[in-house]
Amino acid sequence: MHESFFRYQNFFWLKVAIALSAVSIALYAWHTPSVVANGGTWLGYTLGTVAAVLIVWLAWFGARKRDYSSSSSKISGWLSAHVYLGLALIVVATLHTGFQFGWNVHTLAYGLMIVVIVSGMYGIYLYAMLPGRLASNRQGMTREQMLDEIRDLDETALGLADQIDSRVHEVILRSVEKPGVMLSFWQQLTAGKLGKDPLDSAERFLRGYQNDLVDATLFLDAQPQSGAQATMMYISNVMAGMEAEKVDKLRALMETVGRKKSLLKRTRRDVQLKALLQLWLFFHVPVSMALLAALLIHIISVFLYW
Amino acid sequence: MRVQIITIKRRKKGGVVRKTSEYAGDVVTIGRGTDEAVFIPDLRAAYHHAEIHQGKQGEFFVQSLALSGIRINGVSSDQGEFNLTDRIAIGHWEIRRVACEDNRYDLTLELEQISSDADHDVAVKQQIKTTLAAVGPDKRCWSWMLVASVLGLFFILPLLGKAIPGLGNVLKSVPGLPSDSVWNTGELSPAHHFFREDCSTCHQSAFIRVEDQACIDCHQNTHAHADLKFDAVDELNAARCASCHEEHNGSIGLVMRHDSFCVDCHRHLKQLTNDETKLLNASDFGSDHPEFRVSIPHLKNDQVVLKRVSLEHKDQLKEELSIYNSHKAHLKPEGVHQRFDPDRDKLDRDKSELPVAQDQSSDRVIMDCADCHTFDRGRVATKQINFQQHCNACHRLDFEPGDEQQELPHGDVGKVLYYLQQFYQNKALKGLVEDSRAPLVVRTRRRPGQRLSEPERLEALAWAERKTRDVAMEVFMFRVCKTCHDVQYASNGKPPWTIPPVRLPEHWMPLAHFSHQKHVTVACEDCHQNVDESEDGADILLPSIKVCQDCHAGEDDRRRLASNCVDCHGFHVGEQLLGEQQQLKQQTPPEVKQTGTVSKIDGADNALNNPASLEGSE
Repeated sequence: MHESFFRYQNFFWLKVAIALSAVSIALYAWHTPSVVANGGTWLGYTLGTVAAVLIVWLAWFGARKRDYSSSSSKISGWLSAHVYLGLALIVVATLHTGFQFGWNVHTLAYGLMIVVIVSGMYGIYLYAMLPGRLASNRQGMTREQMLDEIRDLDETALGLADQIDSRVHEVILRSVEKPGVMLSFWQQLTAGKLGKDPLDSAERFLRGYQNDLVDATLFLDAQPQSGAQATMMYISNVMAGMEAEKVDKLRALMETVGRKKSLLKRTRRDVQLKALLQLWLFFHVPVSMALLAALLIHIISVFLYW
Repeated sequence: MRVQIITIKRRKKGGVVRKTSEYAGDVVTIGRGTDEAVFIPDLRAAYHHAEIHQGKQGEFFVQSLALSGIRINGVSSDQGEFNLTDRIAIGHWEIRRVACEDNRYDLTLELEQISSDADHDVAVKQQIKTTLAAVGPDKRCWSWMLVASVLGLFFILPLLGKAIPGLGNVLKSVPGLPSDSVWNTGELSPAHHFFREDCSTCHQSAFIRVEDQACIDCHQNTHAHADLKFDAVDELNAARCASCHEEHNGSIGLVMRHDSFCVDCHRHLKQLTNDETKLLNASDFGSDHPEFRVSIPHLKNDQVVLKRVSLEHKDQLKEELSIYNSHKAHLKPEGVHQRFDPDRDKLDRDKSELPVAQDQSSDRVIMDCADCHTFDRGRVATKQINFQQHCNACHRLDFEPGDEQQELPHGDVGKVLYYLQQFYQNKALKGLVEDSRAPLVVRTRRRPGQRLSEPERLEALAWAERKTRDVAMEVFMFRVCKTCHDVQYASNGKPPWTIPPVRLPEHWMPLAHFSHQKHVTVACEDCHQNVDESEDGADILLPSIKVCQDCHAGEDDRRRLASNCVDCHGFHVGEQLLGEQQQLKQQTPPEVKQTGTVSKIDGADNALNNPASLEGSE
């Protein structure tokens, strides 16, 4: 997807952006301000007007993007223009300032503009990098398939656990009831876990349980020394036989839990990557709205105190 | 306690089957075990999953015994109160407490399977499909908050502060609060710092550019640029104070130094003013600037006026000094005598030369420019030549041979005569004058206590009177005064000798300023060339513009010193003050302004600080 807007119509908008920047720089170099370069010379007003129109037009992209009636190639063209002209805005607006900055609403507008553009650059970086990682993490599965498989593994685990022991069942049930994928804002971004993961404690519990069982089956291969001992051994062998059956089931359960765990990790990573693709917009969009407000104040205040 | 348990089963085709069972015991057990009071056939329930107890006041509590917990009214927990209409969910099942219809029971529970595994999948997937946007802050709300903050802090609050002075003062006085100074586009120039907090000092009307009146309110005594009648020149008419004086650029920008603003008019000022101006066109110091014009004091109808003469017109370049002086004579390489002796250093005015005496006595001194031309403290202007300071050391005003202590006063013919009279009367009355032509009474020695008779006294005074006249004639016409001054004699005049005033100009070029201080690294003769060749004191030895152009050029020149108009010329050189002109403008209708009657056009008089008028010679 990223290539299509980067290369849209043989880099048409990149060329436009370079031309705009070059013309601005050339005019700035050629222009001799009467006192000092700033936004108040004729070139300052010109660059300021171009920059203001660009900002409003670029912000309009947010509304334009939601117009799904237009074709995707049109959206791609708009995005291409949005990206390249947005970058050219750094040149035009900086030259408009004449490199005069201060603690005032004018520099605030400039600063917000830089934040918007830098967050946009981060967005481009994400769009270039993340889709590849997303695909390799999914290993050909869809999110739906991953969740279906988790559900199947849950069912299998519950079935196996019920056949082993009510304690085991309870532990597995707890890990099933708390799915660990429904994540908060922060968890989505960090792929983090909320408190103790019941799956981890379930795994730990199962390992301890397995050790106990293995100890119990050690009698199986021993030889009886007396009749009483033989009777005892018969009983413990019968019991150990039952325990051995449990060991197999436990092994299967542990494998199931292990598979679920790795699948859950990938699902969380999937959620995280998707979240990262959206995160930068939480800066880009609201700050660009604040920029529009600051731009409006910048223009009004300059003429209010002309 | 006695518990009624109603198991509800909904048929697919519709209709509900209610199966009621009873239970009696202290604790109501819930789970997958077949011996539980409330049996839940679901793998997601533990054998013994939860219990319901009754408290002392008859209230009920539910407690989970399984690690996976229970959901009370949809909230996961381990225990809680179990009130009427509360719901407990375990796995796909729900246990509801409903009102008891039968008095025999303490507690009535409804048990129903509310979802299947398939339903559960859907629910979980819906939860898992959660996007960042769904759980994060709402972008729209976040945007509006930011927009409101920016608008409120940086526009509405400062605006309110402007409208309500009390609030405005608070905003300005508390650091960090946004007053209208957040709209400040840049630091003020240092001269205006003291009203930096009060924007309305200059910005008097909203959405209107700073008007000249705001500047004139303080700068009333600043001179205007030109006479009002040149208001007809569009460029001048359109010019505002702020056209040149750009504020909010810190300390660098209050005065526009760029030539374009001057040159817009001055490159074709003649045409713009229909030849009314006496100024010449100029657009660039290096390539398009007229030759300098010097202002020579000139006597016209007994009034000293200034005559402007271009340095090109060498024939007219003579001062009307009424004084004899020769730079060549003073700047002899071998030096001049420290004491001028009219007999020894015979004056030959035709050659305008002071011959050096033949004797090689050591009282000679080699003079240089600074012996006569001294500067004021700032080395901006040369001080006027002053007799006592610059001439008197060599040019003694002695009149009585053998009595060199006696010197005549300088600068007033009457005082000279009075001094001579007093001197010779005193001498005559004292007696013992060594002058064979003097009467006896003047020559004889007085005895102590001797008084002259009246005839003797009159004879002595008559001699003194004759002597005074003779000596005056000598010093005025031949020796002392005449050395330098052009003394006029009229036998019927009272006194008969008159010396025209020496007319030294205060400024040679009053419309420009020049600082010798900035040129101290250059020798005098590098600019004032061939001074030691000048034999006539009336020669004007100022350098031509070409000399300046050796080093200086227009502002765009990269090889020489780029020089702007304002490096030499002031802007506020008009005759009228800005304040006066503003009043005149308000009083005079615009059409009359264009044909104003003020005749002095270039404000030169004012710059001269001299009552004499300025005459153009071109």
